[in-house]
Amino acid sequence: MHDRKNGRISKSEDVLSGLEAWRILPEAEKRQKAMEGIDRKIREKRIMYSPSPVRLFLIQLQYIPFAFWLSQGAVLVSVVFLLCRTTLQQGGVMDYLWWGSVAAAWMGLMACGGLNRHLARGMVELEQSCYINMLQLWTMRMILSGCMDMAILCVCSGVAAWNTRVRLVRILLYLLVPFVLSNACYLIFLTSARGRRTQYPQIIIGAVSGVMAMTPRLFTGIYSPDCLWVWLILLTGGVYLWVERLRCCRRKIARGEMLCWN
Amino acid sequence: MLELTLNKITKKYGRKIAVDHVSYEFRKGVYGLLGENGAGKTTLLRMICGLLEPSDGEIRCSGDSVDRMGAQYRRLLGYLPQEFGYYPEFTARKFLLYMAALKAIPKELAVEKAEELLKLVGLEQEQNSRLKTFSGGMIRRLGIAQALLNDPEILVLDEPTSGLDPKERIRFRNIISELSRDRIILLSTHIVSDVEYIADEILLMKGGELIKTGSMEWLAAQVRGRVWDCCVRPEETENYQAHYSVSNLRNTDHGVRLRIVAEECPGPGAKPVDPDLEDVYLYYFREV
Repeated sequence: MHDRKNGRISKSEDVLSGLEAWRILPEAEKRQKAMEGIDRKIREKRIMYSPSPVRLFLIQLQYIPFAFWLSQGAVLVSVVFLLCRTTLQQGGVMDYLWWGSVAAAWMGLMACGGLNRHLARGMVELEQSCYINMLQLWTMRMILSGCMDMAILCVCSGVAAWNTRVRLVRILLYLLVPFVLSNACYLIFLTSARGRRTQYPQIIIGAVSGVMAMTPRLFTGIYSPDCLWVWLILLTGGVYLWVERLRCCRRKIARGEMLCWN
Repeated sequence: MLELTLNKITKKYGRKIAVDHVSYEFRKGVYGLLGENGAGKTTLLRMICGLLEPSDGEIRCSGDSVDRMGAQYRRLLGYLPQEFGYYPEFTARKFLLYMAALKAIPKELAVEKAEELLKLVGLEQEQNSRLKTFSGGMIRRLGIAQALLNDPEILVLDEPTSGLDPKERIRFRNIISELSRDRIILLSTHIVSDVEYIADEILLMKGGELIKTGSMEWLAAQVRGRVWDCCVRPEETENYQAHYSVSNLRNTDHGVRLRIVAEECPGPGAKPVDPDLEDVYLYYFREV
């Protein structure tokens, strides 16, 4: 213990004054400035709203044009009608496949055809600059449409398989080929043709795909179990072509070629 | 502090170079991009908006690469393309709500914002009319409104005033001036008067390159002493036009009054006058 009386301060006072010296006392002016800086930063900070995937999906649903639902509805009604008619007439597997292939070709086209609307209306550039961009919009539309079409095809194949005693997987394979190939044809058109900003390529490609889907009937025995490998090759090739064109399309959209050039 | 940096941006289409090593730093303010048709303005703006991938170079927003920022960059952006498409079956209000949804604006706020912007661009009476009934000017105004929906920090307008009548042009200029306080506004045009009064900086673009950049005053100072006013006989007019860049020609009682942009005095009686932006434009874009 130090003695104050002898000109020295006590140990406890020494410690206290030491602590006092270490305490940071902000100057009023500097403190005010710092507070203003923080306040400014808070005001500058943008409160961002990030919609959930569910919300994004609902937004997408909300703005899907009436024509899309109409066309999907028309396909569904036609398929149900033809399914009932063929069943009532006790048709064979070829009767189901005759119209089923054409319907599948059209459905495939609708699954990816939504992009054409954006292109034809010249909206792609603007939509691609938004938070939810063109690619996301198109992907969501394809998923939605693709799921609906697959469900219809599965039901269709199921009914046909039940009534004809042919295996479900086989019928599904026969129907998936035109579905995938028409999709691929449309993507080939989009990624390679000039003047794609027209409104009616879908109808033209749809008509061509429909006719093409009917051609296997001309080859006798093509729907027999012996020729399943042909269908498997066609499906594998079609899926490969579809995926490759989809990637090309995505690349062209991301690089801007598809958006900014006609 | 918001900064948009272009670092040697280049865009090639095969052998043709549309934008050639453009470097620039944008801070808050209005930037007017001036140039002839085909100078590369639209290509540059598309790259800034992330729509076109540069062949070379990089764009950074406050230090971050815009490629890497992706959607976070796009939400800072408001864009009006030169060719503004729309869905004709939509009403003006529905169109704005659709765009607001794509810009991830909550619905309640979007409704409020759409009404406010329709009023701002003078389309509140037509908000429930279908777009297929709209005139070109009305569509353009709607385009300006959609670009402002998300209160963008970077506003990119490509030929925003094409199709607008003089009154609408003035209204547009005033809107841009009001907005310019706390954001980057980049507008491209070949109409000089669009940017003369509102741009803090003017960027002159020619052959894919930025040939001159600076404030209106600075650019005018570069051309001072090279703009002349003279009165000539009507029969001499053709000769003057063949030899000099004539920025204005007006018939008067005493002859034809010419405003000429030339390095040297074009003739006796010609007096130097203060250059305006049209003279600057003509000086840099004249055929030599």
